[in-house]
Amino acid sequence: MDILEKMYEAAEKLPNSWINDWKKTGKVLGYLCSYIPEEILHAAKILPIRVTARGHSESTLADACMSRLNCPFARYLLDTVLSGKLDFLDGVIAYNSCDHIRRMFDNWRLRHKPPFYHFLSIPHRADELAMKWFQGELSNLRSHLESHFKITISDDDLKESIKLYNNTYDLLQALYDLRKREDPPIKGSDVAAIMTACLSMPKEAFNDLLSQLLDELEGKEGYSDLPRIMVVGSLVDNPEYIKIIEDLGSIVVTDSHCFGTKYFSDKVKIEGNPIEALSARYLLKSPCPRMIDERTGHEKRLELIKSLIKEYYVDGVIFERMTMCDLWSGEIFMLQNDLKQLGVPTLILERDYIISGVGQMKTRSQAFIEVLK
Amino acid sequence: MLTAGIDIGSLTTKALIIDEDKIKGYVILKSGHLFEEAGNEAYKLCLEKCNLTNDDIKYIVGTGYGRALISFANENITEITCHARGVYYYFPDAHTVIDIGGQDSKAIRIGENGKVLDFVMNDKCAAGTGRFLEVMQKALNIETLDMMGKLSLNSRNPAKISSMCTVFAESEVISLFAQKKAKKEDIVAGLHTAIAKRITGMVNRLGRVQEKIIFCGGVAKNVGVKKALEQELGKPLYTPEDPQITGALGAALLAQERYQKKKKI
Repeated sequence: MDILEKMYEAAEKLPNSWINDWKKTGKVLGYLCSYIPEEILHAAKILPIRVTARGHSESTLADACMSRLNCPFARYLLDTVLSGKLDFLDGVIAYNSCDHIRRMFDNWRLRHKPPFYHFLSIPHRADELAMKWFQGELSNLRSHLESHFKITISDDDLKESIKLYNNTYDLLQALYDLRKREDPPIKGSDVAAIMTACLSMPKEAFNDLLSQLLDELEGKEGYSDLPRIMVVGSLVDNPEYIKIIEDLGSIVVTDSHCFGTKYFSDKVKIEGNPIEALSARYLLKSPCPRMIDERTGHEKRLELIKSLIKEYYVDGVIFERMTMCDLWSGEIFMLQNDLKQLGVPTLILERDYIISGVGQMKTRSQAFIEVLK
Repeated sequence: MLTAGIDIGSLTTKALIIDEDKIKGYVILKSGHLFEEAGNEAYKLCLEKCNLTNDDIKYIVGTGYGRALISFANENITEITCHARGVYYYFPDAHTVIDIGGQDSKAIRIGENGKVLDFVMNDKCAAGTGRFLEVMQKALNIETLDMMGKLSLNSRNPAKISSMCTVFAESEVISLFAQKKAKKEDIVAGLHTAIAKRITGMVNRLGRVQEKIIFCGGVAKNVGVKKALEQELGKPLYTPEDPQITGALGAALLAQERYQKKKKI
C-alpha cells in the first residue's frame, strides 16, 4: 500500500487499523473541536482521536433525540455514538463550541454513558482574564486524567508532547507550502484525506508517513492551469466533498476550516510553563466563529483569509455551509460581503453532513468554476 | 454554421438549433424520468423540424440538470452560464437575470458579452421553484401553470401564505380552500407573492439592482409571478419572447464560440 492509500484507509472510518492496534495496549479518548489540546492527552500516553460520524450514514437513532433543526453533524455523530460504533473509546472530552454540540454531549452522557467524561469550558474571548480561566480548565483536565487513569503527567512529559506536535504542525505547513506552487503536486481531496488521517492515528506514525510523502512530492510534476479554490467553513472530513469540486475542473489549494489550516497554523511555545503556553496557543490560534473579542473575532478571521488568498494565489472562495450551523451562517454572509468588495469571487455551497444532493452541488460548483475561467 | 443547444431541466427538456445567430427552430418536451431519452428525442425532433440531419450540426453544447447525460454533446456547460448568454442575445443591456426553473431558482449578475459575474441559487429546497407552483396547481385543481397566472390577476385580496415549505404550504392551501376561507384566485395570488418575496431576498444578495432585470425560465410564463415580482422589486421585468428556451439558446450560442475557438487551434 502506498502512503496516500494508507492515509485514505486511516481517514475512512472509525476505528481504523491504527486505533485497533493501539487499543491492544493503550487507551483512546475522543474529542471533537480544534480547541482541545491533544498535547495533554498525548502526555498522558493516551491516543486522542478527533471523532466525527465519518463512515456512518444513518441518523434514525439520533432523530429520536434531536430535531431536524439541529446541526446534521451533531445528529449523525450522536447516531454513531448510539449505534455503539464509538464504543472503542475509553472516554470523551466535551466542550462548549455551540449549542447543537452541547445537546449532543448531553445525550451522549445520559443515553450512552462513556467510561470517562470531562467537560472543558472554553472561553469565547482571549483576554487576560479568559487566559487565566483557560489555564485553570487545562489544569483541571490534567488532574482529572491523572486521577481517573492513575497516572502522572509531568511538565517534562507535556514539553515532549508539545515538541512532537510542533513537528506535526511544521510538516503540515510544509505540505501546504507545496500547494502554493503554480502547479500544486497534490490535490485538495488527497490533502483532506491526509488531514483526517492526521486526526485519526498516533502522531509519531503520522509524522513518519507525512515526511516520506513530502519527499515523494518534492520533485513531482503538479496540476497546472486550473482555477485555484479555497474552502472556508466548519469541517471537511470527507475527501469526496473536495473531489466533487475538483473533478469539475478546478484545484483546491488551501482552506480555513478545522480539518485544515485552523488545526496547524499556530505553534506552541516550548519555553516556560507548558500549561500557559498551551492556553495561549489554543485561545489565540486561527479562530472559529465561536470567538467574539477583537483579537479573535470577525476581523481576525477576515485578515487570515485575506492573507491565505494572497499566499496561495486563490482565484475564488467556496464557503461550505452546513445547514443549521448557527456559528457559520452569519459569519459567512459577512465574509462574503467583505471578499466581494475586494473583488474575490465567492460561492456559498450549502451542505448536509453526509454528501447528498450531488447534482445540485455540482451545478453550483461547475457554474462557479465557469465564472473563474 | 449550425450548432445546437440541449437543455435538460428537471421538468422540461429543450433543444434548439441556430445558424450563426439566427434561431432555426426549437422543441420543448417533458423530461419525464429518463433524462437521456428526453435529450435524444428533443434533439431528433428539432432536427426534423428544421429539416436537418445530425451531420449538418457542427457543435453541440448540453446544459441543465441532466447536462452530463447527453452523450452526443461535445461538452456541457451549466445553465447559469447558458442563461446569461441566452439573455444577452435578446437584451445586450441586461444587468440581472432571474431564472425560475423546475427545481432551481437563480439570480445572475451579468457583465460584458453576457459573461456571468456572480450568481445566487436557492438552498437545497423546492420553495420558490417551478415544482412548488406545480404542487400548488395540482392541490388547487387548476389545469395549467399558465391558467394559474391568469387566475391570480383577478385577485382583489391576496391570501397570506405563512409557510414556504412546499409540503406545509400545500396543506395550508388545501385547508384555506376547503374551509372556504379564501377564494382560489386569492390563494394563488398569495402563493405568487410568497415566491416573489423569496426571490427578491435572493436578488438582494447580489447587491442593489440598478439596471434592467430579465425574467426567464419556465415560471416566467406565469404572468402572476411576474406581476408579484415586479411589485416586490419595484421595477418592471423584461421577458424574452419564449422565456423557457434561453438556456438552450445560450448553449447553442456558446457552441458557436467553442467551435470557432477549436477551429483556430
